[in-house]
Amino acid sequence: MAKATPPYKRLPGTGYHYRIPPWVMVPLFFVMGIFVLLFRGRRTQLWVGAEHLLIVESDGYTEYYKRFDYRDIQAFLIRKTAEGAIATALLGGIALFLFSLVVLAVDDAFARGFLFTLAGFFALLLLNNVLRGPTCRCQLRTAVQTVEMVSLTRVRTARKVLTVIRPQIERTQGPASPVPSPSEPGLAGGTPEAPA
Amino acid sequence: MNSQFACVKCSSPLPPDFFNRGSLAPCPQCNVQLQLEVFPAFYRSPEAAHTGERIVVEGESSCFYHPQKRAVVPCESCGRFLCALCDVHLEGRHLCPSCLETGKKSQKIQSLEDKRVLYNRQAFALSLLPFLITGPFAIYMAIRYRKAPKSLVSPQSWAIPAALVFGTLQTLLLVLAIVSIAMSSS
Repeated sequence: MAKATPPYKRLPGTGYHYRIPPWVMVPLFFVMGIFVLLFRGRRTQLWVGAEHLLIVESDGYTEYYKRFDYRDIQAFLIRKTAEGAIATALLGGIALFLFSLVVLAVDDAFARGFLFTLAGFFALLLLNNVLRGPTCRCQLRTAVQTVEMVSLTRVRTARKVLTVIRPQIERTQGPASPVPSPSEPGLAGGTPEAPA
Repeated sequence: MNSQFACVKCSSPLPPDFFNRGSLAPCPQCNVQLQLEVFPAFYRSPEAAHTGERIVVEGESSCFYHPQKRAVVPCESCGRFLCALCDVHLEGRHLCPSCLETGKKSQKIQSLEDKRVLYNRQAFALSLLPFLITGPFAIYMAIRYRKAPKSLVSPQSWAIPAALVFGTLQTLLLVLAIVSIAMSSS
């Protein structure tokens, strides 16, 4: 028997609705350990369907759905943020400081090995952050709401998602042109038709 | 709703030549890097609202909810006559507001479902927890909710059989422990 096609296809990117600012979780980790993840909130992912874009928020045992019909999506906004650059600077600074300690200040072999491992760990985090590219925040706009897409935190991921959903939106709405033609009927800003 | 787009940082309106550039560009006012993809729905005026036509000829079919308005379609679920105002067009069906509400509550209309409890994952998690009653409870949940709807996006059909297997193992271990304690104390 042929396997049924799944109704939704996963899009890249995973985000969390943090209950506290994400940067507070770093110092809090040293106090609470792994239990700091309790503040992380629901996991959010994007799934693309035939008729709508689906945002799935999950706390592990319950899923919450938000559907955005392709014909209702008005705009998709990507805003580049400085968070990635700040993280790069911080991680680079820490890795450099630890490496300089290894080279210049510490004589004990065990301490050097420990510091070198720690510096390597931070260097790996730095490399991961650099390879993932610049950070961003994304918004999806419809006629009645603007939704923050928390799962899209990197420009590259956001563009991948846009590449997937753009054909779906254009299939239902028609091609998106850079500037609207003035002759197009029913341009926004005009007065809506009066109710019958 | 505004007919213009404003920069998310400085709130200054973005000019139309900013739309659909396909790459990041600086906001003319605050220089924050933005990429704005605008689709034809943005340029469309909102659809005119239907209020329903009043009955002008006596004896015409009237709306169940608004007796003074002309019925245009029957509800495909309950058969009540509906005016244009009460007619809700969803998934190719014409429904009345009451059936829409009932459908949402009973989760019969999938596109209205905004939340789903994943009993299969709960049962599986219980079957892995090494507490006294979690094994039997996992078995109970796996049997009780074996037909409950699974996740819309990743159903994880293996979770219920796995919960039964691990729950049974855990329960057997519990029984063995109780029997061995009882035998050693006697």
